Amino acid sequence: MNREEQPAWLRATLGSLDEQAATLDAATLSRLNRMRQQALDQGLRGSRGRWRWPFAAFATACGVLLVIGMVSRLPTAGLVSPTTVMAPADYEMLVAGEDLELIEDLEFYAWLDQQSLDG
Amino acid sequence: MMLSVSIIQNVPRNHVSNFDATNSALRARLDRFLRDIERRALRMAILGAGHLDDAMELVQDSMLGFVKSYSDKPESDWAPLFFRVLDSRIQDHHRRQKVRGRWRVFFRNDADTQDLEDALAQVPDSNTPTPIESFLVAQASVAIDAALRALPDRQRQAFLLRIWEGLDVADTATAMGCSQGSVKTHLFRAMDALKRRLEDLR
Repeated sequence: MNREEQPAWLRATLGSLDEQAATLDAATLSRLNRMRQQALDQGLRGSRGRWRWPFAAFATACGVLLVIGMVSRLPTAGLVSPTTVMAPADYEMLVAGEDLELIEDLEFYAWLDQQSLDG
Repeated sequence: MMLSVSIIQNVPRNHVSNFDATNSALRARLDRFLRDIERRALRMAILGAGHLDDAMELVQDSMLGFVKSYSDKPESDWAPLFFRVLDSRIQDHHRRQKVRGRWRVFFRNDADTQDLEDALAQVPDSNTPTPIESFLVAQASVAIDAALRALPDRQRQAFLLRIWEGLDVADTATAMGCSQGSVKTHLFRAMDALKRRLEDLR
């Protein structure tokens, strides 16, 4: 329906709406312009950044998997802790009672040995 | 060898410059679209929110939301999608106002009622008609504004989008997030109510 064919009240209503939208003051127009530029800056930056997240997440996941893979393939046979190496000898020493007595009398045998050398 | 090196060197640069060119073209189209629509959007927001500052905030949020979410859609869909965002922001504003209103009942004062005064009074008219014309136009404008504000939100949105903005029924339904049947019902009621209130206008 053209404006001319519309009833008077509707024409007046639409005319009033048009006029109010067209006659905004300079301050409001300036604010609208700033808002528009800001929305374009932030919005376009945001929509471009949206596509970075999946790639970043994928790259992080790959990195984590790589590190886990490398760690799990490290040779473990040669890396034995000193406690593990020493443990059987200590255990043997503790179990064998005579060895303990020998250690306790070690100073006596050393003196005896010295005496025989001197003599 | 030199050719292959120059191709390798040029590929990323061309790619970047193509991206920048596409992006700046999109920005220019969006800027044109928003500039064309922003004044009417502000008018709708003023009618919906009742205050210029609130309306400005709603339009700004709508612009940002639209650019973020729908800038990659076909340009022909932009108008209904923009008004969809605006409509949603206006409804959110009403919900917040209702919650605040419940608390204000206990602490009501005159300043609150002054906030709801006509925001259009803040929009100056650059035309300079005669005093009598001004009076009549102002009277008509006030009557029209009052009639539009008196409409329920959905009826007013249906009227503004379908009759003033000129969207078709399907696009109006998209913008309002309802069925085409609902748009027709809201529009019929809005036209009926406005006609009854504004029939005397010439």
